[in-house]
Amino acid sequence: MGQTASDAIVAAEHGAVVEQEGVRGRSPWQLFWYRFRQDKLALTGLIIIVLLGVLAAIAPLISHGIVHHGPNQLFSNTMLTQGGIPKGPNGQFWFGADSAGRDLFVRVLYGTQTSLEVAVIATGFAVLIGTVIGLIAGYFGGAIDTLLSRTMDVVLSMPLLLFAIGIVAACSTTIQGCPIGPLHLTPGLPIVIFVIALFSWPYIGRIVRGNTLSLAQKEFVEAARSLGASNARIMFREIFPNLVAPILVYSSLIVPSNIIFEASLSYLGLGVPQSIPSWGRELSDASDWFTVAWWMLVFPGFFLVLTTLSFNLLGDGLRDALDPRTGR
Amino acid sequence: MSQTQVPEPLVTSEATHGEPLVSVENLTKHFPVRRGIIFQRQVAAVQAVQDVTFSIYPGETLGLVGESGCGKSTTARLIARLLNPTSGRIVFDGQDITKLSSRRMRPFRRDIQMIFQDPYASLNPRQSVGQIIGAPFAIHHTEGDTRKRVRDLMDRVGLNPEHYNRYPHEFSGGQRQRIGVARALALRPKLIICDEPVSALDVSIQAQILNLLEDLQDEFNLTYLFISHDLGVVRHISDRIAVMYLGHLVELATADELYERPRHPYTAALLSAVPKGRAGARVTNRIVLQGDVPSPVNPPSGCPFHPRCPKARLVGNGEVPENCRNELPPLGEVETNHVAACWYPLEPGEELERMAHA
Repeated sequence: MGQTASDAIVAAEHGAVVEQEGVRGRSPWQLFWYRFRQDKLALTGLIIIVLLGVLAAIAPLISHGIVHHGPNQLFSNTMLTQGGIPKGPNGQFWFGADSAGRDLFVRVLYGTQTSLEVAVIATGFAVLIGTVIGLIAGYFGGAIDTLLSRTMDVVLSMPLLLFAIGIVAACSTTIQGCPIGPLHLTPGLPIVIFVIALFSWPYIGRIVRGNTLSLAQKEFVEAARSLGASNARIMFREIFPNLVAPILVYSSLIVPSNIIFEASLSYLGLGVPQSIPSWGRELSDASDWFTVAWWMLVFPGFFLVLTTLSFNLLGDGLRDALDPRTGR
Repeated sequence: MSQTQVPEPLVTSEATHGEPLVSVENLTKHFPVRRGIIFQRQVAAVQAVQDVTFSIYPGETLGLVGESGCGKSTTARLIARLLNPTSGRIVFDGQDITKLSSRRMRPFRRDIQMIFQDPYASLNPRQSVGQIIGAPFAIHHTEGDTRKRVRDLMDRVGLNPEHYNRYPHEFSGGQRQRIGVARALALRPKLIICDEPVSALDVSIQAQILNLLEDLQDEFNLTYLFISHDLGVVRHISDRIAVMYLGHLVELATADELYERPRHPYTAALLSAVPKGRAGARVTNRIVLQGDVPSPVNPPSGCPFHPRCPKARLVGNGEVPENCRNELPPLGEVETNHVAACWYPLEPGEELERMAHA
């Protein structure tokens, strides 16, 4: 199949007809996968992300089954010196201990869970909102577009961290948080996810709007309209499938920035609560100790860099594979 | 501004009988040109289609020719109700469809279909051929086995039904246009508007698609509005031909009549530009028109063709006559079955070539 497959790709890419016997038709997704596989860096990124996902999912199993330490278990006697300085990595504590004498390996492992959870859920909401609003703005145009596009501009022009700090701080004063309509933004994960989604949907919204604007002018949309298709059908059946590629690319590039966002909030002490481990909080902790306890900075930092780098590589690879016309 | 109503039928041929399937009356489309960011005001209008009146009869092919930007595609989109006319009427099968809402328009969509110019842009790259050709059935919720119908359609237009699950990028331009034809044919429409259906294709493929369209017309008793800037193609396929210039309908006659005895100076110039393909063909002097097509935002007064018209200058001894400059010539009968909008139509056999340089 190897040689024939690549021939088919070449022929298909040149718009030629593939008529030989034994050559199967390929959907755009099969073509995408074929190209994506060639990109070793992106493939590495994908594998690392999958591994991190698996690690996050089985974090309780590892912590209880292998190292026998819980994330909030204190080992003040064994892992802190007389003066209260944490001890470095050893056979029992692979990444050493943090300032409170907790197992840093387990903390980092659970931190993966938090980071991926927050970033992926927040990005998911951002993509959902951004796609719907971008589609509506780009498809209907006119006053609707003006209103929605200016809204996106306003959100993007807000000083992100300042507003985020304000909202998180304001909603974290009581246990009820801020009930906004049906949303119950309780302190902790929900409020962090809300804030991140709130500030990242316009990125997707703009991309979707721009692509929709050009797609809506295509003759296939006109053809659908001349067949009597409804606006909803044209938006979701004709235009949306052509948006999947850019949405996929941009969401994979937003995920790492959302991971950093969560880490920044946690670093400032505004992210997830103390009891939930987070890379940002570990790093914040480390800032007081790294001169004497390098591991506190290195391990959470390494995982943060590894994760964001992997997502960026994946995003670049996706873009190259989904749209072969844009060169590097 | 309204044109003198020419009694129906305007121009007939062997193919025109009975009641017209489509009539457009004084059809006008202006696209507003707006300025300003939030408070937009209209500063001008592109007068794309101006007071156009013609009819299409069941079973015939009406050709619509003119150079780029003359409003022929806009006319097509107005008839298909993809655009809303500024004024005028469109009557389809005896019913006024000019102002129908999109919901009320839906049943008519089955009867009016379009074939588009660019076979690469008119097929959704993310849908398989089966989905594309099956879309009309899905949209109109037709009963029955859609898959079988799509396969039958593919077979009928010369595609291999086994390619049902393939994607548009796997086909050549000609095959893609066949997909477009199959989609247009799916609901057994009465009228198919062909908007330059072969302009984007290789010459060798053009003939195949044209033959397919002709075969389908015979088989399903289709009526075509055939738009093209290729005069050879239009003559081949059309029963009657309408010529447009700068949004105006300037001449309408049966195909042979128009080609042999063009009466409007613009048509004559257009025809003289057709390359003669025969060896030993009479070497004719082309009528080379001076200047560019004027902007449809700010069209000339009087006859839209007067600034470039060789005949007008000839008549006025180098000066364009008063009525050409100030009055729009109505579409009038120059002889039986032949109408032209010109104050000084050419006489049959009159040579314009030399006049162009007079």
